[in-house]
Amino acid sequence: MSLLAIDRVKVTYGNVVALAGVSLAVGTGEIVALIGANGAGKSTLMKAVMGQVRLAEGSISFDGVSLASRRTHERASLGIAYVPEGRGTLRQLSVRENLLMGAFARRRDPAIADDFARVLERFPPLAERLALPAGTLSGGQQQMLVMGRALMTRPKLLLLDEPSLGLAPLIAADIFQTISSLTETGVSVLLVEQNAHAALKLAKRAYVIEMGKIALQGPDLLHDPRVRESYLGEVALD
Amino acid sequence: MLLQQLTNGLMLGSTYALVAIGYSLIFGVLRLLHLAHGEVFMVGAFAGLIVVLWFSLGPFAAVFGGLVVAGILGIILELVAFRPIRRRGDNYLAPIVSSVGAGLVLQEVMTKLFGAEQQGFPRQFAGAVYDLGIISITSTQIFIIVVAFASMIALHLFVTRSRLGVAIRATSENLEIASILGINVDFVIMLTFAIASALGGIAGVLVGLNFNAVSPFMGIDMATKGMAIMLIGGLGSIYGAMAGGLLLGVGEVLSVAYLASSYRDAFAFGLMIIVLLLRPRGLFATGIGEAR
Amino acid sequence: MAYVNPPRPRRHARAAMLTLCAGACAAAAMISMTELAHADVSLGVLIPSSGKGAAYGIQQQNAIDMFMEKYSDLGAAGKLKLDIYDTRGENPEAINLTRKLMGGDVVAIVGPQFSGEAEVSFPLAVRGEVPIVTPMAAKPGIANANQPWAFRYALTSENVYGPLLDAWVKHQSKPIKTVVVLMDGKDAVSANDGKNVFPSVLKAHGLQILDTITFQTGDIDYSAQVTRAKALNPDGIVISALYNEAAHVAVELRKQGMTQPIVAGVGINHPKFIELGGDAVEGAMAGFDFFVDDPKPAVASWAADFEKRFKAQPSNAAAEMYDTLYLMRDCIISTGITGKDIAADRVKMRDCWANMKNKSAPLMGTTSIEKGDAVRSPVVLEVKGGRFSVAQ
Repeated sequence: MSLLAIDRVKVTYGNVVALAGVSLAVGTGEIVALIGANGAGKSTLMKAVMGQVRLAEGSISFDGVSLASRRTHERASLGIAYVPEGRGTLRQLSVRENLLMGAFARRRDPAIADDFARVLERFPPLAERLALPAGTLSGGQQQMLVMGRALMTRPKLLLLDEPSLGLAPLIAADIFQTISSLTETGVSVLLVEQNAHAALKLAKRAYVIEMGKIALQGPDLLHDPRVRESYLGEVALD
Repeated sequence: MLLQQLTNGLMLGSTYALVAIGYSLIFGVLRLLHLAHGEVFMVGAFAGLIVVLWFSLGPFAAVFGGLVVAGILGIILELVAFRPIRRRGDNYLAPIVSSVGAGLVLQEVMTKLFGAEQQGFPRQFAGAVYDLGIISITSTQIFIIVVAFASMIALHLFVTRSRLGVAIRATSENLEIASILGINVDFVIMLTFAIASALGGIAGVLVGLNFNAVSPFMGIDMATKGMAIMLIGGLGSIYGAMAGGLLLGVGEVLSVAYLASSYRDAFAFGLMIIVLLLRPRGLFATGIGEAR
Repeated sequence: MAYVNPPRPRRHARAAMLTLCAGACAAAAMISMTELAHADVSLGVLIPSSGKGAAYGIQQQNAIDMFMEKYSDLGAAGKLKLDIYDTRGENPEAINLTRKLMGGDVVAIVGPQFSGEAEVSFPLAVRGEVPIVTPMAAKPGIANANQPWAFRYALTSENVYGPLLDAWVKHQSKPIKTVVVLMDGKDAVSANDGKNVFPSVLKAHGLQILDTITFQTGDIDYSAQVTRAKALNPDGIVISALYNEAAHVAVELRKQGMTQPIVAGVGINHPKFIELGGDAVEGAMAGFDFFVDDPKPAVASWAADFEKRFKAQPSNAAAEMYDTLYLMRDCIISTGITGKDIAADRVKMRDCWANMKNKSAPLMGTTSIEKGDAVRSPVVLEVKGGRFSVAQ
């Protein structure tokens, strides 16, 4: 049974159909990439998982539990960590407070301190800036912060929306390296990326979404001619 | 004389600050003006008065009574005047109007219960006068300053050291991010109303003790001052409200002392306009007011 | 607004019909009038039952209720009727209601109560040729400027402060040479008293004003003003304000350690002054028309009855209303007002007030009218043991 099961989900904004019956699954410990053009419905799908948009039709279940009646913070408590596009650092809060807010739903779990130490180990630049407001960090550091904050929730599933957006290539590579190492700890990842090449290399399986519908899916889309033509562009030459 | 005037200003400003913090806290989490907050302040003052008159208890009990009653009233207002409207989607006007309505209802109810006249604390609450030469201060005034600053320090520790306090600041900065971190934002909003209102209630009792003028209409002026202070301090900034409250209190007193009493309110709003011209987002800009 | 709602105006179809007919069909009206035994006599009453002056209006409504219980019978002229309206203490409302009453069947208007209201209502009454008597408004000149139709029953502050300062200066153990005047700059009477009336009377008594410091009606923080007064170290303090503000000023004076004797203007005549002021107003002196602990039997029994019924001591506002109504009734009976010919009745009423000489009323003694204003000697009072009492 998959950890996250999205079943024929339809979402509309007024008259505009954003998702027209999307089904998608993420298994335990699996990295799944979701690629598609701007406006294809990638972010909407993530918001649907988090309960930030209302489903017109279909259902989403997580870990065997239907999410229908769960509110956003309850879904977070179940073990879904979401890193939205544009990162979502709390700029007024310090780096330390951002990380500790990641563990909000765990209340007074004694293991929080260990996880905190581990996150700082994984992202050393954060350790040097714990007391600074998150708004003062660079883009790359902010991306580290939100990844670290997501890890502080001890998620079963990580929803990453465009984690490399706006980052220098070296830093982006660093982030992808981190994502790939996460699976060692048993975390599942649903990754939305405009850098389709990197995403498809990282993911075991991938979905291609077009106009609110899943157009393609499979384990080896990196070599699929249609994907190479539409989404990999010049990268296909290498 | 200047030192005494500064003391006078500090007395006034510390209560202004407590009220203004309430506006800032609530504006922070809801991006809305809570226009019944002045009446929460007023009800707190009456609660303190009742504790003293009906149960013959002292000033600490009065402050505690004001805190509890106002805190509960704040929760009720959130549940009755704000939450049902919030559930129906984005509408900036409706909750503002419903809070104005709630404020008027509170004024009328208190007028029916206690009359329109001003009421004072019993005379022993005036306290002993300590004449220190350059300034004179009463024991009650020392109590007021101590309670006001202790409340602000307690709030500071709460929002920086406690999990829920940081959650309030997180919610204040970005409600959606807070909720994806597992924060129950409805609960946090209710908690914020409780804290903001409790501080308003404390301020009500302190103003009642200091100026002996508890009436159903005492919240009206305080509300306008509180909102002006929030703008001076920076929308949603707790520390801005503290600094702005003290600044306005001292400024007002000095304007009365060295200009004329008729400039009192003009000075308050003049100060607000000047601050906003020089620093459009207030003394302690929070970034609230930009797109979230 | 607080605990008494303004009574609804009592319009009676019979009287209304009469007025209508008098204009439209005089001959027929003559017949119908003779058929009616009593026309009854109506007075208009304007009081602030709600709003900023509600405390006055509520007291006055109580006095009206007591008066009507005892004196509503006019003998041959039938019953006394009152058309009572709430001005909310607001000038526009006072104007509207004065117009409304003038157009009706009232023989005279009792009110309005505040000087601001009286200033705008009196000229209307003069133009409409209806006698108008304010029981309470104290600002100098308002009745004077609207002769021959406007009168006032309250003593003006000019007539009060002379005897008051005589008594105050004599009363102190230490000589008083300098004073600071603390005044409400927003309240019309208090500001005028503080700026004009007190200074001229103080000057006549050889007292020097070190500074005149203002505050505003509704202020609650008086610390800055008092600190400024303290720095001047005067021998005495003059407070020209209404009772709430005056009490708060006195409290702040004592709070900042000032122990100088206080003399206050006419606005403080209300039990709330002592209730809010507590120990701080002990020893403060003021001059009034009326005071509640007057040992005269007529006043004592009336005040006791009032306090028993309404669980509050009567203020001068209540007493002035009661006496004004008493004199109105006296005029109705003595000049033969019938309520049948309103225009003639109004002239009779006007002349009765204009020529009033040493006419005695139950609560405030004998009153004469000079140029529209009442003249009689004030009572100089001192706050002693939490009550007003006659200064010895």
